[in-house]
Amino acid sequence: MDTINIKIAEDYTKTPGVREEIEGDFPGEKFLASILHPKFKQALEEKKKLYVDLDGTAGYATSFLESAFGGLCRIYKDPKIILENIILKSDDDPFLVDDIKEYIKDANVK
Amino acid sequence: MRIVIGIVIALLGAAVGIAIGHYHGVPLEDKINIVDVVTLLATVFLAIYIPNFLEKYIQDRRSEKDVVIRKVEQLQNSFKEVNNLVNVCYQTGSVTQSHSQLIIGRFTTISTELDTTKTLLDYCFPSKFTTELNNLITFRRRYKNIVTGGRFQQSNYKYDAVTKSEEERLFGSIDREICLMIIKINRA
Repeated sequence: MDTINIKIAEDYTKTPGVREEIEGDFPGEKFLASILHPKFKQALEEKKKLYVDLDGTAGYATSFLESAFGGLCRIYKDPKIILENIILKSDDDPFLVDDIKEYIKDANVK
Repeated sequence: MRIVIGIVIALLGAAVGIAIGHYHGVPLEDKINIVDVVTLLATVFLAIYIPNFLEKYIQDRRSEKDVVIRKVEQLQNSFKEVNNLVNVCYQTGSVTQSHSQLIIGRFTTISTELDTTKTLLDYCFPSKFTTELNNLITFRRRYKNIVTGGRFQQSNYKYDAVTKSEEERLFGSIDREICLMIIKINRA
C-alpha cells in the first residue's frame, strides 16, 4: 500500500508542546497547519494513506493531540474521512493510537 | 527416583509386616475386605495427589497471582505519582516545564504498565477481568485528558479548583478500581 509518511520526532519535534502557537513552543496547531494537514491533503489527492509515526518523542499531552488530530477532523468535518485515510503507529505508548482515534471521533462534538 | 523410593518403602513395609507377624504371632487375615482395599487405595491416591499435584497447582497459581499483583501495584503507584505531581502544581499555582514533562512521561509509563497488566491478566485469567480492564482503560484516558488537556504546558498554566477536584475524583475512582482488582485477583 502506498503511503505518505510523517515521523513526528524527525519532521517536527521530539518534545511536542502546547495547543496553540501563542501558548508556547511546538504547538499542535502549528503541526497541523505546517505538516499534518498538507500531507493529509496530498495523501487524499494521490489516493494514498497518511502514515504517522508517533514514536521517539518525550510523549504527548492531550492538548497537543486534540489540537492536531481533532483539528484535522474539524477541517474535514467527518471523522470517517480521517480514520479511513490515516495509519497511526505507536510502539512507545500502547494506548496512544486509541486516544487519538477518540480525539478524532469527538472533535466535531465540541 | 521417586518410584524407586516408593517401591523400597512398600517392600520395607511388607517386610516389617511379615516380620511382626512371624515373630510376635500376630494373626494375618487370609480374606481381603473390599472396604479396606478401597480405603487403602483412596489413602494412597490422596498421599500421592495432594503433595504432587494439588500443592504444586496451588503454589504455581500463587506465584502467578503474585506476579500479576506486583504489576498492578506498580500501575497504582504510577497513577499516585501523577496525583502527587498535580498536587504540587496545584499548591504552587504553576505547572513548570519539568513538571509537565514528568507528568507526560508518567502517562507513557502508565500506558505501558496497563498494557502489561492486560497481557498478564488475559494469560492467567482469560476473560475474567475484561470489565475491570476496560474500566481502567477508560479511566486512564479520562484522567490523562483532565491532567494534560486544556491549556496544559502553556507558560502560565495552572490547575484551577474545578480541574483539581475532577482530577482528585477520577484518581479516587482509579485507586478504588485497582484495589478491587487486587482483591479479585487474590480470590480468583
